[in-house]
Amino acid sequence: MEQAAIGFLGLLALIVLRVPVAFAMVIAGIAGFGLMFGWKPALISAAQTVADTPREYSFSVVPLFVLMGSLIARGGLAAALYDASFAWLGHRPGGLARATIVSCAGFAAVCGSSLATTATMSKVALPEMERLGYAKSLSAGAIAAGGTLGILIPPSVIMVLYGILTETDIAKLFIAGILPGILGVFLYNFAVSMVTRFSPESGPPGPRVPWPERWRALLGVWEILLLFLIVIGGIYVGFFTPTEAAGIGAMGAFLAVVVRRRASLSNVFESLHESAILSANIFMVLIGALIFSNFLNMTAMPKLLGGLVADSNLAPMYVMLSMILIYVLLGCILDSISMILLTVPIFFPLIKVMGFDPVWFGIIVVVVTEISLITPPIGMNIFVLGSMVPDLKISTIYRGVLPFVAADIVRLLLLLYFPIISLILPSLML
Amino acid sequence: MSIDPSTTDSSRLSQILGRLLGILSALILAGMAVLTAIDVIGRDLFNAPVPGGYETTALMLMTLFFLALPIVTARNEHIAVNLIDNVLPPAGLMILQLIFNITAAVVMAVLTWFVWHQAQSILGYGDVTLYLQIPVAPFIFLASASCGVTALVFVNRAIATFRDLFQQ
Repeated sequence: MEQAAIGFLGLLALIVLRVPVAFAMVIAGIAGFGLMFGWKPALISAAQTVADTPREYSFSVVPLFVLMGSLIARGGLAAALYDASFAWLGHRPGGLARATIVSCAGFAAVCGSSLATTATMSKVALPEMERLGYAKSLSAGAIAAGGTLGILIPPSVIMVLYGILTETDIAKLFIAGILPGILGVFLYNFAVSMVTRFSPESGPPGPRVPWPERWRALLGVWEILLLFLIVIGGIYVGFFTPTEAAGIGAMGAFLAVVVRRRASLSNVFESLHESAILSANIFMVLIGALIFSNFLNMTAMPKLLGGLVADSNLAPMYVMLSMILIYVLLGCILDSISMILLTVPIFFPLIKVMGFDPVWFGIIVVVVTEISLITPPIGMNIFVLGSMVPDLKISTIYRGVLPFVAADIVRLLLLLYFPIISLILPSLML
Repeated sequence: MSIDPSTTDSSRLSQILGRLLGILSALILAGMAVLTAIDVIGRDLFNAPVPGGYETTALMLMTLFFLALPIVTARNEHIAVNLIDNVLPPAGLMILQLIFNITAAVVMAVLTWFVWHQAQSILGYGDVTLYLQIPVAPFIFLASASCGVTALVFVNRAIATFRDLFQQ
């Protein structure tokens, strides 16, 4: 137990000292293993992880979904999504903020990353809201919060990593994310209502769009609707595995780019190139996490922690709430991928001891991660937005995001106390 | 000021190598997407999956990762936490970077050796993939080579950081 605690503290110290997370885990993992059982076995085991991990077929789901999102982001579909959402919601108070949230959700349905969703949608939505005189805090808050839906609404790279680490069915995780994602859209809309009720001038309604045009705008996003239906629908009915769906999705996204006449050679090549490099980056963190968790598993920690929880008379919900608290704290210093890869190997055994559903826990972890994306001091989404729009003050974004964080907390509590919201759809799968 | 070394990889050779690795990994990713799609469509619509599709994809994934790893390192894109960037003076940050680059170079060099060893024993067993009988050892040698190049990139970064530190 002490070894694990020392290893974990050492790891956190390395991370704070600016060692990249992947290498911090490699170094701490090898050092811990080496000090307990000798250096040679430690290095042999680490080398094995390095050589074997990238050779796992199911892991190819990561670069393929990253590629799908990247192609869609370059494909000019964001503007069409925004137009469609605006046509239906723009005339209501705070209508543009609502449209932003809904189009973020639509984008999330074909993209597995929150950062990409935020970066892409901000380019389209912010100028529009500025034109209609929206308060900067409201528009920035809507984009930063809406963007977090990227990792909850399937596909989701974070869910893939959770599934890989815990051997939970990725297909079920994806399907489980749908209803919580929709719930998120509704609660964010409610947050917009609250803001515009107290200060109507922060989000004036836009012009009303006539019905025929609404339908035409909706048809303008047929590629996205079709792609989501094929990829996630195909997973739902068991037509293909998530890995296969990722391949189909990447090809479908490529075709969508071709249809939109955005398929210049350099555009497609840039997508491939940036996806390959981002995937290698994620994989290095994954390898680090596996090396570190090899060490943790050699210590008595997983067993001891499990026993501790089983023997104590704590209600499982208290254990759950303390885990969430730890996530919120870690979310202050870690990015979402590192946070998942670091904590899940430690927490997951407890989840099993307490008899919680691994799919449900996965959704809770993703929602907590979403919150960490928009809370200080390291809200990655906020930084992305800040770097896209240089004249936007970070403090303005934080202020604007507050009502949405409140909505997130309500959603988290609902999901905690009503697991059925997450579990009903996967339970209907074949 | 930036704590990134001012002169990373200025030599032409490493630039060309980086470009080449980037193009190759992009092409492999394209290949993975096409192969997976053809495999699924062939299987579900024509009842004719690509023979050995899974294992080919897996080996492509491995190649992709090990070609791209040195690029991620050379670009200094590994995910890191910059909590102390505003707390420590630039020189302090550079010293931390120097220590990390040297440590990482050593770790990657040692891993290069151990992965190489593993590749040799796999070569000895004559491991091949299940379906297409593709020998596995070359891919493990590639893994080792990639770790080696990554170690060199860290050495390069360490030298550049060291130089910057003393020019201050």
